[in-house]
Amino acid sequence: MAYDKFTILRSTAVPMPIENVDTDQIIPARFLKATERKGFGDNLFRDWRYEADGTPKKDFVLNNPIYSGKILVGGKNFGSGSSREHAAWAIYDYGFRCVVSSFFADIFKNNSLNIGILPVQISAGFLDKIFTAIEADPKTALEVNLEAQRITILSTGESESFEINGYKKHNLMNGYDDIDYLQSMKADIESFAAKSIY
Amino acid sequence: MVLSSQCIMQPKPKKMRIKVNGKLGKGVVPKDVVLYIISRLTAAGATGYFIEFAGEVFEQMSMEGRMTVCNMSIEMGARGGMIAPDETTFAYIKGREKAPNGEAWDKALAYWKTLKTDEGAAFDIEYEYNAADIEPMITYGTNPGMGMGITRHIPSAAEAGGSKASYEKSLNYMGFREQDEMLGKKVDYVFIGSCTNGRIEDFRAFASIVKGRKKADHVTAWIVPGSHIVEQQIKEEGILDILTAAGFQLRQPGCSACLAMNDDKIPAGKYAVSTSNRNFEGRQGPGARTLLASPLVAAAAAVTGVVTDPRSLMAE
Repeated sequence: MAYDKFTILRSTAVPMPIENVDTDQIIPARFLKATERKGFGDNLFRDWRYEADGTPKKDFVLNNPIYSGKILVGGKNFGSGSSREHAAWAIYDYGFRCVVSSFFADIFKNNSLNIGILPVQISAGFLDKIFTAIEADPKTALEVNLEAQRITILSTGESESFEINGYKKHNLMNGYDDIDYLQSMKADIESFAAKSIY
Repeated sequence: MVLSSQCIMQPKPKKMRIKVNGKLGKGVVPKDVVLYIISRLTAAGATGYFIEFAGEVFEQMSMEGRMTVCNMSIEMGARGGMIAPDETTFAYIKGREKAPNGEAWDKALAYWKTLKTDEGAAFDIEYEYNAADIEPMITYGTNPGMGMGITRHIPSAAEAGGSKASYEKSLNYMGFREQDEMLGKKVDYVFIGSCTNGRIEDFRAFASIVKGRKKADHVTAWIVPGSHIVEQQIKEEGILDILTAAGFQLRQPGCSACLAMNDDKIPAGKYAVSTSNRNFEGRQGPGARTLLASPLVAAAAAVTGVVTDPRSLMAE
């Protein structure tokens, strides 16, 4: 098992109503030289979170104690830019287990799934509802049900379904990653590689 | 994944074809073509797709130019960008160190010739543009899609579309305003290099503009070959002499200022015209302000010290 299984998550959520959040913001390049996954959470959104001298920036949502939880809610095109897998590691190491948005960049989405973070893609309308609910009450709790593929605002009962690739869903619910799957196909891979064109 | 299995797991992507017709104008190069396309599609416009770049502009393009374009496919969200192999491709490969030889070459060539897209093939989505509409480009914002022709004015939030708050945050970070002209804006740093534009043709282009001119006094210029092989060629072709005479120095091959992992960092608040591929907040150093552009635009900025249309420095 590569990471904890994901089944149902009930949690408050941290709102980030910014579009096109790119992976250079999630984890700046200068932190990519580490050789262990642990500790990346300390540098999550580093330059939005801290001044150059290390003082926390008061206006940044992660420094505001009224917001907390295992769910991060972001504006559309979340995770755009560089493919750095470290972005997903930083989000996981910080403590998030789910990111909600109306659109995810492709590579970030896969990196998240591989590490046990569920990216939940919902309509722009429902994303707005969630941001509005959290703005009205920072303790708004969401329920993310992977089996049912449903996300619910618990206080109102409003919910929406979300799509997820069947293979990825199976992996996430069992804590498997792609390497387990590929290892099981070793013989097929080797026989294909042997059939070289030239 | 690759090390453990020799594989990349990739679900079959959707198919996008982007055709660019016509011939590129003076001073308009492959980097401008791809920045133009991204400005039309946005940074997320090709997510879930692989792109085939087609049409006369790509047929006429050198291999290095094609590499520049395909390199930035990801900046519009596409995981892959492809250009059909043709005589330009085969000529580029023939005789290289790891290229097949003799009978293996003939077999390979025959196979490669089958790889182009069939007539009438169906794509999930297609876009078509004209070379005549593409001028030297420059970015003004904080993602590679926020670019425009160098003679134009920064769009308003309404013209740009998307979230007004995010747009304002971006312009604020850059220290720009809606409707600003880019021409004439002061440049502090110029970086030519990166996987996007660190090849010999890029340095030839840079040298063609700086030849007989001098680096602007207030500009710090980082000239970074993509590899030791390119560095060697720069010396052999006499490009180094041209650069030295103009007041430029080469730096060690590497990623350098593209992502500021080493000491090549742009200081906070400073403007850098950069031939790299990403202009996100803090990409080139915390607070750094990146203007993505072609080697010609970078060279023009390096000698004038401001954002300059390279065509104004080129012979008729």
